[in-house]
Amino acid sequence: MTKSTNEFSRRSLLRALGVGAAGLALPGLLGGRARAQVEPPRRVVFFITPHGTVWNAWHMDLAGLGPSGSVTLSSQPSDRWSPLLAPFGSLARKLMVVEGLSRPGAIEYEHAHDRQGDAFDLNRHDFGQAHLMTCVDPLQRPSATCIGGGVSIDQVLGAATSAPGRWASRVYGQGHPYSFVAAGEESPRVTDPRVAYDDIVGMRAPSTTGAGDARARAIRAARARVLGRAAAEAERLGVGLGRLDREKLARHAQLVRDLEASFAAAPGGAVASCSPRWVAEAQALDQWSRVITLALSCDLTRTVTLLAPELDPSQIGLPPGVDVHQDYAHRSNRLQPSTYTAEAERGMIQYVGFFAQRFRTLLDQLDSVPEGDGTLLDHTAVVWMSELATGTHDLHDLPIVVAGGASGRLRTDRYVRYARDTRLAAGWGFEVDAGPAQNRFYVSLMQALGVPGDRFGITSVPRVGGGTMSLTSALPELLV
Amino acid sequence: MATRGCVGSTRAAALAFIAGCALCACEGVLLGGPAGPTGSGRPGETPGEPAAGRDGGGDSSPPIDACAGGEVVPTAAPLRRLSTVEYLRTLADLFPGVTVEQPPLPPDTTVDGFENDARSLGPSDLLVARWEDIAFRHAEAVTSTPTRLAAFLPCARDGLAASEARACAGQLLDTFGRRAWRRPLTASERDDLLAFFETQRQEIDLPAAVELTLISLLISPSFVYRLESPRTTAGEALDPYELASRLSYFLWQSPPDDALLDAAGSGGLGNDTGVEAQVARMLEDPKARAAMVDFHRQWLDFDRILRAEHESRTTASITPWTPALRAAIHDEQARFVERTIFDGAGTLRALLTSRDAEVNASLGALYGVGGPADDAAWIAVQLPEGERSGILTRAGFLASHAHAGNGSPPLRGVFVRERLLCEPHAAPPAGANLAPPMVESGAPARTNRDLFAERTAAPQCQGCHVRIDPVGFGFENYDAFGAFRDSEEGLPVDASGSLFGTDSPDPFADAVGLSQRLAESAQVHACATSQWMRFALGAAPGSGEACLRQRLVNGFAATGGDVRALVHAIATAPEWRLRATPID
Repeated sequence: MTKSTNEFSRRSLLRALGVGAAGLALPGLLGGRARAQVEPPRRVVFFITPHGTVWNAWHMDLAGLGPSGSVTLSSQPSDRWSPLLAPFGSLARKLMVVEGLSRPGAIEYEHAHDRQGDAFDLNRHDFGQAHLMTCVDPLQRPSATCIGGGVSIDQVLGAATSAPGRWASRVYGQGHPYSFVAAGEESPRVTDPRVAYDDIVGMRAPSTTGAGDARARAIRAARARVLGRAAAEAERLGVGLGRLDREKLARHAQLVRDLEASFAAAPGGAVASCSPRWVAEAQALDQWSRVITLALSCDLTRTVTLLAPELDPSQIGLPPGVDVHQDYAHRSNRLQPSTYTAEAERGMIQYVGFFAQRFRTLLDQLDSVPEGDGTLLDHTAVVWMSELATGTHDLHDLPIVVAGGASGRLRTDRYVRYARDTRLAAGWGFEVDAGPAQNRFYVSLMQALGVPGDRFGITSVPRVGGGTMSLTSALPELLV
Repeated sequence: MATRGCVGSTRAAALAFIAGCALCACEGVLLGGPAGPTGSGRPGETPGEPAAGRDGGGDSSPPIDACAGGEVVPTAAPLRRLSTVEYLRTLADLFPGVTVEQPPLPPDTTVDGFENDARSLGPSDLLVARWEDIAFRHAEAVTSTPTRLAAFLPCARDGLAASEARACAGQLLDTFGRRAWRRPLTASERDDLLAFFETQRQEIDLPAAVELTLISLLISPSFVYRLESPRTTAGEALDPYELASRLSYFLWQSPPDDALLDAAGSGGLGNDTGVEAQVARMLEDPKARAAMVDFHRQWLDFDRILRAEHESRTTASITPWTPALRAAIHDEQARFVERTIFDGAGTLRALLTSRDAEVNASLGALYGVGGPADDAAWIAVQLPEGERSGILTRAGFLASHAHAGNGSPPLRGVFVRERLLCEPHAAPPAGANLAPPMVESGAPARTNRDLFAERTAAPQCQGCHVRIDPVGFGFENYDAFGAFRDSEEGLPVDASGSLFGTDSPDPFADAVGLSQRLAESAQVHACATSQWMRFALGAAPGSGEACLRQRLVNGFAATGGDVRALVHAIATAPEWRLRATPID
């Protein structure tokens, strides 16, 4: 362990920065602590909401844009913006709308198992959630809903991009699991914004008992050494065990070493602004936005996944007692006239629109923090997506919105449309025309964030009529 | 028509439901469930990513003849991290009387309700940070003043000579260290920690050396994991300390005490007599009560009533729905289990049929029996005959498997099928209408049963609901609170049903009859055996445990369903004393 006169843990980072835990404003409102001389780190935030979207109210019909291609967003007149994307009009230059991606791995998974003589969980919500961020087959569990079958993209990005001694990633919010540290293991999640805030600012002062601060500092330094010993022990104990057990201990050792580093790391690099204040007001998702902004601005983590819960209809002005899933989501698709109702579509637009407003609040928070030559948002990729494409459970034509450019690596100010030019066999005898795989979107994110690799998850699926569809490589249209 | 169909009308959803229902209808009873992951799925190619796949594979029940040869097959024992419950109970054992404010630990990933599934118990950054923080807080709490230090480690006095300090540190490692790591430290581990202690003593001071050595012990993988060396040859016995940990975390959810460690160290666990004596002793310890209750909490989902969806009710009952009532409903379940297993008949039958109960004021009102004057006091009562019979007729199960306005026959039926009969059921298809059916405004009154029966009447629903509903309807005598009723909206309640497709298929008139059928069912007893094995093994028993399971099922039946005898039989099984094959 490296001794440092600036020894502190992530729990005391803010104290080390000379910032108290009370009485200060939200990030950005005090002008922040921009450090323009250092290139800001690139970050990613995943904002995940349930029930997909309402296609007619989401996608944009834009002049000059055919079945595939892209156009500039900021030049679009306001009347061309769809109801669900209109809240982002003023952020057009920092926005990328991606239309037409699909999830071939999930489509093929259902197709492969729809006649399985077994109790596979083929509920699209369940395996949609398990698959969304892993891009591998879910892990089936007897008598239980399926769960992620591999590590999720946020964990991969977090591990590769985090600063030494900081959280590799954070998962916040409520609802179903999407983020996984390994097959069958959900990432640790904090469900209360206040607890997340306390994690950031430190729950208590380090011990000052005994001989005073010098003694406390000595104990703190020794705690880091204790962690180093524990990590070495985990590495040693793994020898001779089976593969799964050995991998578990190796992961444990790495996590302990990361924690050890947090005791030694000093504030450096680019910290945009760090101005904590707990505010318990506003909608819960907006509280999370403040916590996320704080965590990113203080460089306590560079990867966050925020899981939005199902909403009580009365929260958003829908009739009390309405079941959003049954009464609205399932009936909101005009392409399925046997179930479609205008009332359901309106209700679902209101439902998704509420999340759009929350997403906009998150973007505004990030954009209010000056950093380098721009703002925190400019150096972040903020991705809005859902476990399904629509309320009727489609796994193609995914609605994906990306804000921020990951420090100019992502091509913002674009509406990108992909052709649905690959026919895939779906479950129950159906076929769908699918666009490029979401796997490739994740690879694009990896490259934008400087993470090497050209694949994530399953690498190919069979096409109808023979041949395979590749799920590898980045989508060049998304990258600068 | 007042209700919509059970399934959305998209073709895909309907087909999915038909297929899913057909699957569960054909699955039959699965004794013990499948084994661990076998990897039928496609692995990703993300660096370092393990293979995904179905968790378990098919029927693991052996031909009975295959178990006649007397072969002893070791049970699977993957590396197990302490679950949150185990971790907290271990700390409580190690630091009796010490209370510190602790940060919340992230919840464990559950499998079939169980929190100790080895596959899903891994490390995470948040968990590692919390462990370190909690270790620090405990170590600081017992060393922060001379008085506290003296109480924790009497030899740690001011002014010790170096040799005396080293002896004191050795005492710490030989006592506390042995309990924390559930085994004596090896000579090299001991020397290493002694050297670390001495360095801290010289660089800081004695209390700090004690504090930091404690932290070392508590964040070590030897503390937070239950480590067992894999076997190198067939039939290789566990190290006695490894066996001691298996026993203590199964029977107590906490580490071996000194008596068990002493037995391990003196060869007392090397034969049947010694193991059986320790198990018998441990089952008499109060910690066994807590562990027994906690098994039932996980198996029977006692905490479900604490979910946010049960904070309120939209209908009235014989008593108001208050936070105090909800807390009492939750607490009663544990009280009932402990009372039945340890102070009552002790059988699975009694769990399913006993009318003994403990109530406070709120709960007494709900059950219509005389209770104490307030909620702080609990008294023993007998619940009304004909209205209550065992755990499934208590408000804990009934109210937690209800919607805000009425009971849910599907939720109640699925619970019985899955948890008590070990029948796997596919999740409802995406198109299933899960909202509680309601009578349309102005329409004539209808019973809850009538509304649900209409909801699930479609042929594509019946593949599953033919098994679910006749069980769930058996609980129609209980409203969303769990209060008894014999009429609803002025209409008589029909709570008749049957355990279709089981070994006890005769019709019953109500939940009392249903509970009696379940209590008589060999399938229920076999399922309970499997659930106990899962709790002990940290994984669903699979083909490797098939013969052991069969023997335990037979033994459980022979004892009349004595739960403690079953636990004793698992803990003393020869298979459980062998090293497992490493999982690759």
